[in-house]
Amino acid sequence: MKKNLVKIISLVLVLTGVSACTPVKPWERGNLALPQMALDTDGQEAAFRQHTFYSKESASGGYGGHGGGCGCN
Amino acid sequence: MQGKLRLVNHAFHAMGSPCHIQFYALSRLQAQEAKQSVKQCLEKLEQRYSRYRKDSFISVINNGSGLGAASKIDAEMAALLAYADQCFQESEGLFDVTSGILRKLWSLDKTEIPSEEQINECRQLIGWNKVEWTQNSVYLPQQGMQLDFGGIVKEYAADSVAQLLKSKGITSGIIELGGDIKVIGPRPSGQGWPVAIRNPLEKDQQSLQLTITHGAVASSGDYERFQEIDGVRYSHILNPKTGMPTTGLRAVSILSEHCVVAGSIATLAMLKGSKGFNWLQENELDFFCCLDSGEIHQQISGY
Amino acid sequence: MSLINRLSIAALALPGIVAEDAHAGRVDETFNTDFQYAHYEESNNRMGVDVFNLTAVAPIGENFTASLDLVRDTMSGASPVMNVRDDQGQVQQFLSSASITDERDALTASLGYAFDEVDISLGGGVSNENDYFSGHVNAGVSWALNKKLTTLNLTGSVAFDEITATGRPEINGRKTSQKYLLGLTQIINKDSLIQSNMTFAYHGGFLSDPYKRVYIEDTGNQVNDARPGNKFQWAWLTRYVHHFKAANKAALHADYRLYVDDWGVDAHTVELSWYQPIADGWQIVPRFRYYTQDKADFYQATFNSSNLGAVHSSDYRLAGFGSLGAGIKLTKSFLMSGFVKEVKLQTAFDYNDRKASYQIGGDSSGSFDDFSFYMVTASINAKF
Repeated sequence: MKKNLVKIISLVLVLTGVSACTPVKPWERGNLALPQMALDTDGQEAAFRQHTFYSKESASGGYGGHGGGCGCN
Repeated sequence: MQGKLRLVNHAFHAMGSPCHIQFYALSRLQAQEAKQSVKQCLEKLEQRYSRYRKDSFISVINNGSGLGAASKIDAEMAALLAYADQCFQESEGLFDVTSGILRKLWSLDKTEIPSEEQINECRQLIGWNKVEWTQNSVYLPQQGMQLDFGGIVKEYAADSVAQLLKSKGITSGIIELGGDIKVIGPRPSGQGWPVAIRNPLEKDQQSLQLTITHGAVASSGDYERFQEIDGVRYSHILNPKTGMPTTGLRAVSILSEHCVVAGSIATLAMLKGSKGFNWLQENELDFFCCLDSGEIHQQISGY
Repeated sequence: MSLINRLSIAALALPGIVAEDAHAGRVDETFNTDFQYAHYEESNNRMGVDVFNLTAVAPIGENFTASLDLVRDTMSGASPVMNVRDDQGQVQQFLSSASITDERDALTASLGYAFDEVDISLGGGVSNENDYFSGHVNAGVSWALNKKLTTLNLTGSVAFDEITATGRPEINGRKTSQKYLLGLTQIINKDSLIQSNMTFAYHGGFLSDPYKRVYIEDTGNQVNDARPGNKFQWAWLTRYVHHFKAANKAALHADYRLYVDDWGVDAHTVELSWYQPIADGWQIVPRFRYYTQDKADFYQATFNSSNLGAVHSSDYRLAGFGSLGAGIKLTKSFLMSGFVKEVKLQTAFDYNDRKASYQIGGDSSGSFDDFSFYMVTASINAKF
């Protein structure tokens, strides 16, 4: 499992590499502003989904969100 | 209390050209105020920079040429002179705001091309390097020298009007002043505004359809203002070094963030003549151009 | 520096020209209200939850944004208490009685201030149920750089929880949690962007589940679930969004999260969603999720006196398992020209299957813990 972890970390680092970025021309900004391109398209639904998953699974985090606790089990 | 979001279409005449603005206003009152402020803004710019007005700021400066006293200038004029200087440097002297006097030789009522003597005589009064300017003053040392911001002001006006409307809370709209376009912001749905670049060869046909959410498009070319002498077409863009109208490119359209930059680059490309197309490519610009031969080239990111 | 940049810089000196991408304050100028109803239902008549959520966001003055969020959860049904061995010698889950109904109310408020390139926010909230209370505060900073192509995010929060337990009056537990997020959002080109966030969480105090027990095979005794007094969690989430102009402006969202904690659990999460606009304000979003985790160090289905140790748990959430999920969401957006600018209706259905055998490298020996659940949501959002 640990060996796989190292491989995965390297892959994500490469994907996250900023070197491939090209500047966005002003008339091309429209695509990025489309609602379906937003990282947070539905805050309430995302909160409900994340809450459900961390109540039933061990993993949590990465998304931000406010950080309060609950006794959900 | 907010009212209906309405599309306002306003066609008018300013800066010697037909103009058109479209924008979304929240109320009739906001629409009226917007139209009024656009009118005042353009009026003010004409008042300052129109060479057709004898009492304009620029005419006063021009009338003082060679008389020994510098004219006081404000921040906007200083910035225009600095911008003109930058264009002069970038074009190796081809873009010269003192070259306007060549127009006398090529005015529309002339039926023959000017002689070499006439051109040389005129060129004595041209030369941006001769202009004495600082942040606070400008002086044209020879009588008859003239500053002409014709190649900058209309595009600058488009940017200024866009900025003015934005400051009044209008976030969606598009401005066109005689073919120079600046977008205030995308339509409320997020869609861009349709912009067509006219075909320089067939006046009534479109060559390219764009949809623009932000930015500006400015064009320069011989298809609108030109004259024919002995069956040869001469553009209205005059090369200060040769005194002749430019050849090589028939039309250029440039896309950029700001209209004033797009416009200067379009003019610069025309001035570069037959080297213009290569120059556009070397500088990685987003352009549409038509060569004298009729060949059309297009290099616009996303199209 | 390119020609365009040189001329643009010279142009900026002109009074009528302003740098287009100056952030210049707040982005969202509308009042937003959202209301969502959600239902969660487990297989085999285990647990069901109804959630009502109301959120309101308002711009205040030139730079402030205030938001308020209210949640009411109602839970009912049974949950697993421990594992026992049946007459055939197989491990089975033992569930609590199904008659309990639990209500949780939560309120969160936050205030944000937008400077030119920096946004800051402060918030806090409380969550209350009859056996659990949590209060938290948080703060965040968001910094836009590089002509707004890059955004750095930093957030921190602290929560204080109080745990009492029905039927276990001796418990008066306290739990303190700190969470930190460090993130970067980068626009790659006109069609794609990526976000990568790393979170660190530290928990201390009463971390066990007061309603769960473990079964000791050799003596037949049961003892309470006992977990370490602290926990460290690390998560690294990367989210990628890509625009497909040709597919009617569809967008692909792909997320991957790596999770590691010091209780021995490693987990991977992959989520894929495809946002497909159809005609006229309609949008359909199919989505897929895969999750895998390995078991906690002190987890065992059942124990013996010899391997009980000081910490021990049979909680199905600390076991090794995988989860496969798929769902679909439908959205309809109405753009209006009046007091109300936009109304959006959304509904979604998701189904999730949690199985021991879905774990990467896992087997089905933990299948007694397997269950499935579905989620249904319906919401209405209005912008003024």
